[in-house]
Amino acid sequence: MNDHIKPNHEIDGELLSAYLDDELTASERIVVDQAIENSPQLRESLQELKVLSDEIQCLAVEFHPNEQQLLDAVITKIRDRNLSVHGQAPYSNVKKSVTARGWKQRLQIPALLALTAGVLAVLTLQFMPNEQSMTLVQSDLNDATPAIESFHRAENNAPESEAVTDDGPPMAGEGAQMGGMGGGRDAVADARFFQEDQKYRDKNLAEGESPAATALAAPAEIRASAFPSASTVAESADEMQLHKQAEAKTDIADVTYHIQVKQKDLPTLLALLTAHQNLAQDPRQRKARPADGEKNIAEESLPRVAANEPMENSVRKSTVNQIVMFRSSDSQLAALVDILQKKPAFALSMNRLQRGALGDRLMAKDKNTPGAEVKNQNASTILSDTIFSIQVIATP
Amino acid sequence: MSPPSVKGIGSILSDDNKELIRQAAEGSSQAFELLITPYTGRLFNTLMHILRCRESAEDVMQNALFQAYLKLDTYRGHSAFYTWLYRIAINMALSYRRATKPVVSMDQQQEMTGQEVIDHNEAVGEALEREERAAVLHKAIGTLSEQYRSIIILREIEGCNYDTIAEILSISSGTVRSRLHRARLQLKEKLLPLLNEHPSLL
Repeated sequence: MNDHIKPNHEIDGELLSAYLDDELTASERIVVDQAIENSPQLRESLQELKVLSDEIQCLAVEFHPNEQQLLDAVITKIRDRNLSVHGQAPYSNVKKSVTARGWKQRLQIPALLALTAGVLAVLTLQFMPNEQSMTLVQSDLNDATPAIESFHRAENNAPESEAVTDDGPPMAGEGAQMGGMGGGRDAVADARFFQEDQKYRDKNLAEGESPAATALAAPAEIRASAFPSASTVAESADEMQLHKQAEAKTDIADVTYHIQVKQKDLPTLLALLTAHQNLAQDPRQRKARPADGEKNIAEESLPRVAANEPMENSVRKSTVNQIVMFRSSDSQLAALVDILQKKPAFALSMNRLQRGALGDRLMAKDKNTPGAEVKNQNASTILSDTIFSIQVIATP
Repeated sequence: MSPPSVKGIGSILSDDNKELIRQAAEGSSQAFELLITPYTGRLFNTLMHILRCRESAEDVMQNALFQAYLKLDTYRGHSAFYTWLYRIAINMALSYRRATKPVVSMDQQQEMTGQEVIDHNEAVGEALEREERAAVLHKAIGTLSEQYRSIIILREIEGCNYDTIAEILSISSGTVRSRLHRARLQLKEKLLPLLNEHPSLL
């Protein structure tokens, strides 16, 4: 590299620099071409510029981010903000410290079991308001057992105490321990969830809900929002309003599932959910159950399938009864969906609310459609922290 | 070796991306994630060259992406999405530098430039020389003023054309031409004494 670029009387260095970058107009280029042809000095100057440019380009160090960590941190920040704006229980500001592991690697059995059991517990409570339902559960237990056993065979190494978290949030250390099997990201993420879950429950307690009901309504890693309340549900005139509210509630959700269940299949669903809950329960969960005769929160949160009403009347219309929102990896959700899909009576469908092409893409990915076009190669790794919404719809 | 080109990234902005932009502007974090993922690698590389500190680059990038999300409704599509994104990030990086005035030690620079050497098939001697040359070059770039460094990075490392640089830095194409030339001259001046310290590299 020489010490400087020698200017030419007619062609200055600026023009030459732009010539090198192919940023001249056609007329300028003609002028410079002619000047270079006639001037060895200009050719030398151009060569010096080219050497410098090539040197920078060739020696440029490539810096690679921990892409997944960065994206996770940003998306977490965005979701914290969105949840706050939407009036949901805000997530904590605990910064995610994640490894670069992919979402498949993050499918951890204990976390999956806890998540699944928690979600199912919520759903169960919504369909199981009283002792009558419990009877149905027992009588139909066998019908649901194969799918459950199949699921649990894959989890037989999971410590029982890690399976259910609906009796109160473990301390952050427990969450970290639970996630520890999956690495640092899960540990921190779990700790965050548990902290948030504690905040959520504290909030409910402050509003007068019983500890047991709160614990059951909001197990770890789950945000369950009872909607609509029994007192606000009317007949078809309100149905559109219900759906509007549902849409608003699920606006922050990335993916929305619907579960439709008919009255005759309700016992089977109860059996599946309750058996799953029983298999996963631990002493803490039993303590968290309301005592006999104690009012169950589900009685208030389940307008359409209330046991004290004749079932014919309570479910004669298709109605959004409940929205359950939770945050999870898509792989964890897939395991839950897989269980529910084993029962054809449960019309489980994936819907996107106002998500358009993105929803289609996710749907294609979710169904593992052969040849499904996933344009973004990172799509499989970035769906790791998703807010899901399950809408339970009772039909006659 | 041709530089990694942001021009190539620009072509990613298809109709599908416009749909992602729309959905992200409506609040979908997942759409936003899909939208920004193609650019994060190149953007981080640019921020690293400007800030010369991984932690700072990560902080600035997180904040820049978050700000981009918040301001997405102001994006009118008059420029390519990535230039809009780069403009936010580079402005934040320059502000960050002005606020923090980082002092990068030689050891840090060596550590920085020692990462990710591209050609791993060289002989050991060649690789060492290459690393040494890279360290000298990056030290020289690091001594440039902010405006010269930004424009050198955008042109030589990111491969942006003048119009793109003009959009990102909010200056005219004519200013890009003159500033880039002055930056090259200054870089040569900075390089000479450094190369004199390492005669084997001359």
